[in-house]
Amino acid sequence: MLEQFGLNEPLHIQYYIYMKNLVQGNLGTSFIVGKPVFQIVLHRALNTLVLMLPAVFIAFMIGPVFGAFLAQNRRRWIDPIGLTFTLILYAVPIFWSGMMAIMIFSFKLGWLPPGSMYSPAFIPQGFFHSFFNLEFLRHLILPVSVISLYLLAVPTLTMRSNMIATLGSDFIEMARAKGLSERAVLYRHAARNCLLPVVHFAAIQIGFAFAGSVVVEKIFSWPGLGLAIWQATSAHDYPLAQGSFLILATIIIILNFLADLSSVYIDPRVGIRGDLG
Amino acid sequence: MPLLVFRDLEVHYRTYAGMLRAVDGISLDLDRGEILGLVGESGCGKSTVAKSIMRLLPSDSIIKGTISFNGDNLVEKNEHEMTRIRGKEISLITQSAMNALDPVQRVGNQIVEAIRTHRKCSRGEARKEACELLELVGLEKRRFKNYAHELSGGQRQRVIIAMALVSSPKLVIADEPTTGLDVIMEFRILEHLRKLQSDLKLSILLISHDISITAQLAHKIAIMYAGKIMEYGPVSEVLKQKAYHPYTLGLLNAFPDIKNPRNELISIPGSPCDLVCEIKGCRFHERCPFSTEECFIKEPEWLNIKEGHYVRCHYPDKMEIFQKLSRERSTWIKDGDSD
Amino acid sequence: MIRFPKIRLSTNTKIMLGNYKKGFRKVTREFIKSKLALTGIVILSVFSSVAVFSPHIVPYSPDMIHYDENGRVLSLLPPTKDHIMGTTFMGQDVFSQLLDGARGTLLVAFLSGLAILLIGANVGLIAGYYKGAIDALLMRVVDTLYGIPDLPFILIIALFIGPSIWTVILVVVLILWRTMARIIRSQTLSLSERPFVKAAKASGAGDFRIIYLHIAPNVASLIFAQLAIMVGFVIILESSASFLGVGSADIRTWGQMLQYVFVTGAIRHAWWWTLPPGACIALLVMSVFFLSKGIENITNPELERR
Repeated sequence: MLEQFGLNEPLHIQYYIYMKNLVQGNLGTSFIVGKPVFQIVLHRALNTLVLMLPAVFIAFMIGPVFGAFLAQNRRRWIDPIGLTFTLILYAVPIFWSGMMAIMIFSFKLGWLPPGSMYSPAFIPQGFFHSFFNLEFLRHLILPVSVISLYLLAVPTLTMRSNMIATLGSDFIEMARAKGLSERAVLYRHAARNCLLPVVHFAAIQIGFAFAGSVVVEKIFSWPGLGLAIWQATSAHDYPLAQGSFLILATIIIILNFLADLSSVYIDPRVGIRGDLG
Repeated sequence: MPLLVFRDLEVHYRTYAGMLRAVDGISLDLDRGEILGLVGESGCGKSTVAKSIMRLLPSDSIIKGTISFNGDNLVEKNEHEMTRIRGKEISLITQSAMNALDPVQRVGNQIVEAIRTHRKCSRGEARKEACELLELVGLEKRRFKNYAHELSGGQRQRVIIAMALVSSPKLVIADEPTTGLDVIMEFRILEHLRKLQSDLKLSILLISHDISITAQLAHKIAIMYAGKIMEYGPVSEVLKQKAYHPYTLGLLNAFPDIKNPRNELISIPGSPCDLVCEIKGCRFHERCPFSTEECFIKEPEWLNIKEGHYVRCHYPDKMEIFQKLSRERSTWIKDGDSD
Repeated sequence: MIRFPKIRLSTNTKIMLGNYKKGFRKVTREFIKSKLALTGIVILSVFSSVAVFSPHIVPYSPDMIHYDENGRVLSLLPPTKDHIMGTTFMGQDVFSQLLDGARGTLLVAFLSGLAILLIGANVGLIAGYYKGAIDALLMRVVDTLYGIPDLPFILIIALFIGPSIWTVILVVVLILWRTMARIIRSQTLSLSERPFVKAAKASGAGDFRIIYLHIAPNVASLIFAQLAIMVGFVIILESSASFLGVGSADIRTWGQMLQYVFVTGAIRHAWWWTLPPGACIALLVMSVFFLSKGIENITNPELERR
């Protein structure tokens, strides 16, 4: 078997072979499963994306709105409560909240399934069908909610502190002096100016989110890249471990890049060179 | 009837140290088509006056008294009513125009926004009008699509002026309109303002710490110190060395005289008093070279010495002596005092 | 009577210690005034003392298996008088395990924090002060592999060098020191342009002195505020890694407890076993966060007027 996998060659030869294969799109063959890693990884990657992207999207839609709301009402009682709530969301380890969620909503209340993408008896017909059906969506709710809640903290806090800073600036005063309603001032002027740092942190957060997919997928038995890495490392399946890790890192880098790119559109001061003029 | 009337206006801020009396009872008039200059040192409360007209004060402030605009008392209006007045009847040209424009929007669109806030018209109409306004203040039409950071300080200031003129306001408050600009730019902007004022018959409240630009532009002048007005009258009188109040006389000394460039500048020693503590007597008595026991004990009254000329001092009759003495350096700087 | 040898401190060292002492005193005074920092430090102290004294305060030995009268294992018992947090699947007392787990969790947090501080802060100071080639080199080191996802990385490394608590500490420090270095570097860069540094250079002070005598005390508050945030990350990372089974096998941590919870399928109903470890992790992270916010507030008092 050593010979079969070329593992008896010196280390640098192995590395060279790996790189050569990589460029050709060949990530090796999984020790355990026996199928080509590339095939497995692609399928798993899709599952992870389907899970994480909606969660990230929700977190970054709700987060800034909530943050702006807290900033606007920072003198009233709701601010400390909102802040504490957000802090709890940030401090609670996601695997624990996942476990608690399963315990409460699956086992105690029986509302939602405790994991996996489908119930055991369900057989998806075709690619399209496998994602656009009620069964799948039912299984999606709990994990996505848990992830969104966890990711909500940073955009909320960032938006809130930026808003508070922006609301004290001169151009906001000017906007009020023009006779704009408080609402217009908030949404048309303040919010747009605050978005840039939020997007910047979003790019970083995406990295953390996907990295955390390992634990989430483990808790919910979601067959994604994260789970693949864990399964591979437990079974000492080197090719699969390396392959999934590589693809995961690539996905993160691509998403980071996209987030940075979008910041150019949001703030005209940021040139393609990336400096604030 | 005057356009804008202040009667016993008081503005207090709540601070950690106590109640800060930024504006402590001022009474002024501004007539239609007139430029009133409000002059004073930094921290004397002038900007607070500007903000209080627009009711843009921070929420931990208390406002008392009357600000009568066209007969209505602005102090009693609620936020909703004020939004309708701001930008339409009264507009503001802020200091530090560097930062008064939204950095992520094109400047032209910000003018358009000002137009469409107070009037129903189409985007196209508003655009046309905005371009006209830009030309009015001496900017090219193509500046419409620039962002704030693409314009120089003087250009930004002119955009702000254009925004202030959007709905032909009855009153324009110009709060330090030329601070931070170089002298040439300052001169141009002032000339522009003067021309606009005479063409459009604007009423302007000009707030500045710079007496020279006030002298250039204003018809009437009010000298403010530590939250109170010390002297108020026509520019021709107050600034031509016929001032009554020692503070005004001191300020006049601090400016270079083009006719006598060799004259040494004499500054007023000391610094403005703390606005938190209760002050009995005249606010200026500590720095005034002519102060007496009475100045320390009793607050001077607001005296009408001539038609349209008021002063807050105990000794208006000693005016001539004060005027002569104030030109001597030794009056202000006693031996042993540091400059 | 023992006579201690008199330690001769150079004048400069005395000044440096004096600076640090002054700064320390000022910070302590503000600390007591700041409710936030105080809360943080109180909670942290509670946890730390528990960690230190746990062998003495546990009601039972954490590994001890409990039996009932008939000799059967008391598995998954809900809270009772004897076991205030119930028992685990293996019949062990949850509360004792919780107290014991504090040790592991805090040990990792403390050690990692120390390592991140020493490595990250020093690299940041040196890169920011010397600039030029040294800075470029150090930043290249920091920047390589910047986009690596943290948890998967721990898994991969554990695959090669085996799972243990030291693996976790190693990887965590490896990932996090870079952020610290970056932040300290940018602050050092701006500070080294300031007049007081130029004055020190002009009067002939050596580089080492300038960095540690003049610049470091000024960055100290930033360092500690950042450190607190980093330690928060460390705690979460360690818990997650232990949960996945790549952390310590012998040293108990709260994350490790949760691993057993999950693996034995106890989440079906054993809330008494699931709730406490996670809640403690959350509390610890929150207290550290309060601490860092408190330090931040002390050093940059915000004038919240609007």
